[in-house]
Amino acid sequence: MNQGLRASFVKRFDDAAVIEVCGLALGADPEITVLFGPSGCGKTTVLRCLAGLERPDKGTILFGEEFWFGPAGRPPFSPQRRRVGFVPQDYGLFPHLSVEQNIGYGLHALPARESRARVGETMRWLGLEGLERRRPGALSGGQQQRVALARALVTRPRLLLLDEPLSALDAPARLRVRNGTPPDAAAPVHPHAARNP
Amino acid sequence: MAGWVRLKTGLTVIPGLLLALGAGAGARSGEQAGNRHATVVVFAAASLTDCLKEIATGYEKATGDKIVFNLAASSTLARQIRAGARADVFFSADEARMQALEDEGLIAKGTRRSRLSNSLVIVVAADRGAEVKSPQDLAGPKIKRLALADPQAVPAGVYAREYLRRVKLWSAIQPKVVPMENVRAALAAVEAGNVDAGIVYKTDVAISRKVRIAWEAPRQEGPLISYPMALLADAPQPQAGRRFLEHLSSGQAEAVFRKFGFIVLESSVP
Amino acid sequence: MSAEDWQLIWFTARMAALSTCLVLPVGLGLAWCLARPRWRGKALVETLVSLPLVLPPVVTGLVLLTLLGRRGPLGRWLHEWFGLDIVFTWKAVVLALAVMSMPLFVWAARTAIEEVNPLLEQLARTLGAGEWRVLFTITLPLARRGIIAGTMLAFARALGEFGATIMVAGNIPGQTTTLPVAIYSSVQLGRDSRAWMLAGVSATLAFLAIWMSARLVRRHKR
Repeated sequence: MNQGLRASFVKRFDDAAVIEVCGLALGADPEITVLFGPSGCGKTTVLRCLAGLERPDKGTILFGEEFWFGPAGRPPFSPQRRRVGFVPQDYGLFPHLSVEQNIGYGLHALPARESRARVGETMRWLGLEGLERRRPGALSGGQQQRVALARALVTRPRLLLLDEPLSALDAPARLRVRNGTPPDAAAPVHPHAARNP
Repeated sequence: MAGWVRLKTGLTVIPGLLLALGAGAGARSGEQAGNRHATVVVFAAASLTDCLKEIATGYEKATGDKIVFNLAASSTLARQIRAGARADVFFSADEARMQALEDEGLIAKGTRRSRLSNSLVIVVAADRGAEVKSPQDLAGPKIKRLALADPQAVPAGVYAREYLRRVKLWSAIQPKVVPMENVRAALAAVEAGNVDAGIVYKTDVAISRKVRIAWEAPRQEGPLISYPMALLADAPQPQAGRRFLEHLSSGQAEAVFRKFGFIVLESSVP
Repeated sequence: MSAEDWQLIWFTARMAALSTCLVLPVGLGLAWCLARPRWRGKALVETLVSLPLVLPPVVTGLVLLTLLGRRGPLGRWLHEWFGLDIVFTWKAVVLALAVMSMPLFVWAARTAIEEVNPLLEQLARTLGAGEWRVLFTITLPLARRGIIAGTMLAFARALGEFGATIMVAGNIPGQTTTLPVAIYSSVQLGRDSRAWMLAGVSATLAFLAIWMSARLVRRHKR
């Protein structure tokens, strides 16, 4: 699977602010890219554009051979088609669903048994056992973040976008996430990650 | 911005106040005039709408008095009078509504007169086929809905129900009845095609081009239709009211009634 | 209260329930569309939906009567093609109630949908959910309090609707007479005690509807 991300685009805001991305590139092998910058400089917007949650004004986002955005005239890829995992800064957990349901949300196309197995596996890997039935409101900040991460990872995304991902994790958890990949050998996954510290 | 809002408020409030003051002043001047140029308030049955308006126009020109009408079902008018509505003259489409008011002492003694009558007709929309040739046809399957003025209280409906009872068709027809607010509403329903037929006064058909008479109830078969008129006991303008009542009995007015198709009876005081 | 009166109450409740069933899907669709930002014609649709709230009910009734009467554009088509007559039947009652209570429902539902965090809907999309799935698994469940309140509001409004109903459905006892119309009619006929009794029933029904609404909304506290 020779896939890589190449993106150059511009996004303007009503208050005349402009974000310009020039030649952002991720290679085909699994790698982690980190976007640094002072707060408010547009890192979140870049991630949202890559995820398809916002639309640039002009430019191109190319993933492998898929034109996720641009050039002019081409309809952009919907977020559903991009198969991107996105973990926002405030985790974005679905408040009306349990932890189990949150994590398994993206697996609705799978048969129930398989989706339950994957969810269980991911929960174990991130140390979330026992919290299946809990609501997000009843979790600590660190737990919420891990649930959000689990939810994004369980769908085996091709690209993982994490906005301030490790801020709430304690050191051991951080280490586990940095060094590990989801424990499934059957389908090798190459998560590319753009990460904000 | 605030200045503009204040200006707009001023522009709407001031004319509004002026209108309210003007309306109030106008009403008062009518009462103060007394014998000269009074405003007479007439509550009259809906079926009298057109002929009374013509009579009033002539009367206003001749005397300078102003006639103001409240035209509705006689039952509605009686209700309003009972509740305290100020009116000078009541012109009802049946004796029962008038009698009810007289029993409550709301009628000025000695002023009640009954001189008008009417006939009942079955009407259908002008562009419909000849499905109705007799009252019996109303009970048939082709007629699904029949508009009447509310048979529980409105004179035209009460008369219609009485007539249908006399020809022994009421129980068959009652489920098809669509009760309307007044006889003109029944007519309108037939015109609009929302009902298959209706029973109204013959005089109502004269003003409508969209319906035609399918059957006229012979006077011997139908109930006696009588339109009594009277001065109200609490009339704000009793003299002017009396004058107008007199005029309604005059030869001039009778000619107008006849022109619109009403039947003028010999004068009778029940 | 006579058997006839119980029939009347039952009929009114049934009509209001039917009209609310009609309002829900149409109103949800409208509310969802109006919750989207900026699209062509949005202001027009917004105004049209709010009209029955602001216009005199008899005007709305008049419009319905003109449209649905046998000679009207819609009514003629329905009559010729389906043999359906709307005016002066219970169907007209349901329609009048639905049109009059729709704006209230749309207003409540739209507010509730607008308050759903759009990020949650967006996340659902990144997780592969199509638009319908997002609507039914994220948007509507999160907006359910407002939607429930809107539904009960619409139901209560339908119970009390008068002006448009009497115009387009008339006052046919046993067929189209609703509680408010019966109250008006009783007053017209001078039957004051009956009017007061029915008014009491009407007030009780309205009270129950609002009370139930508050309970349902409370129970769904997130």
